[in-house]
Amino acid sequence: MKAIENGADGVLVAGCLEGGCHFIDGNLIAKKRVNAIRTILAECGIEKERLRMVNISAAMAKNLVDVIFEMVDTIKQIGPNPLKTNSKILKEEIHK
Amino acid sequence: MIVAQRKTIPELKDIINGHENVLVLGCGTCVTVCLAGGEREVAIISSALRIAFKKTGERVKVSELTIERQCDNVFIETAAEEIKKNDAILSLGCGAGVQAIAERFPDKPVYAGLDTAFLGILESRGVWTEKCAQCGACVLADFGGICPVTRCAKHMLNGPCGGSRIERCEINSNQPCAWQLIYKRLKDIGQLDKIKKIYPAKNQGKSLDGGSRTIIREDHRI
Repeated sequence: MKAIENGADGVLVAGCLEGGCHFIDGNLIAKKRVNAIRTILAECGIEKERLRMVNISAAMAKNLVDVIFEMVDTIKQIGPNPLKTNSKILKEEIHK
Repeated sequence: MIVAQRKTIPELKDIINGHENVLVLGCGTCVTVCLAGGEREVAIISSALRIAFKKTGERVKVSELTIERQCDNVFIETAAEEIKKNDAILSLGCGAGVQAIAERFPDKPVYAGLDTAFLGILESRGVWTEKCAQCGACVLADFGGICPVTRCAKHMLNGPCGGSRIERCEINSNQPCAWQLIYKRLKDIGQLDKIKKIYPAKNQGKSLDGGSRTIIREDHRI
């Protein structure tokens, strides 16, 4: 939430593979929380695709790279975070 | 505990519309336990509101604070300074908390950010269920500790109604028939004879009759 609020175009949360979490079900809970935040972002008028969680292991470098490129493509399609644009408008208004 | 759930961000945005400085005030008691209005939820909702206002280009400063208990003046005082700095308060406390804050700060708009739902328990992780209707005249002693006023869809004191199907309520099949539970429980504790008692009509005068209720303990008054 903070990252999006501060102007990040997208946030990719990477957790361990399902069943492979050091904290047992921590990554499964995290996934549910991320989904809950996606719902809240949508309520705020922000594309929920800007936030995504993937389950990937430390040994899956290629998959991670693929996921990152996918995320970059998604962000390119939906464009920059609208909060950045609005912040600029606000700053300009303040300077006037 | 009191169980509540958050309103949606568009609803909250509408509620605080027109104010420039808003304090989102959390409560560290019941609504923290039911994950609706504690410190973490205050952070999430505040951030969401800042995002929503920025998105529409509105300049609204949303700050956040959580106090130990909103329904107690001793704890409300700890928020006094922060409350005075803001134009309006969006309380993430229960209905009692919202009103306690509003009474303490009569010149400050105080809005409810949650829908206070019921008095209940944590049934399982992430699931809360209603257990008490706060009727003011508890009958649990006669029904094996299972409340027909709250848990029977028809609030029947002389049940069962006969409409249940495979131990499920005919009004809401997701819920067990309260009278089935009462029967089993009374049987298990050897008090099945209690089920034969015919209950007179309940005295509703101890519930919502005549407005809000007050309890006075003279032995504790100064």
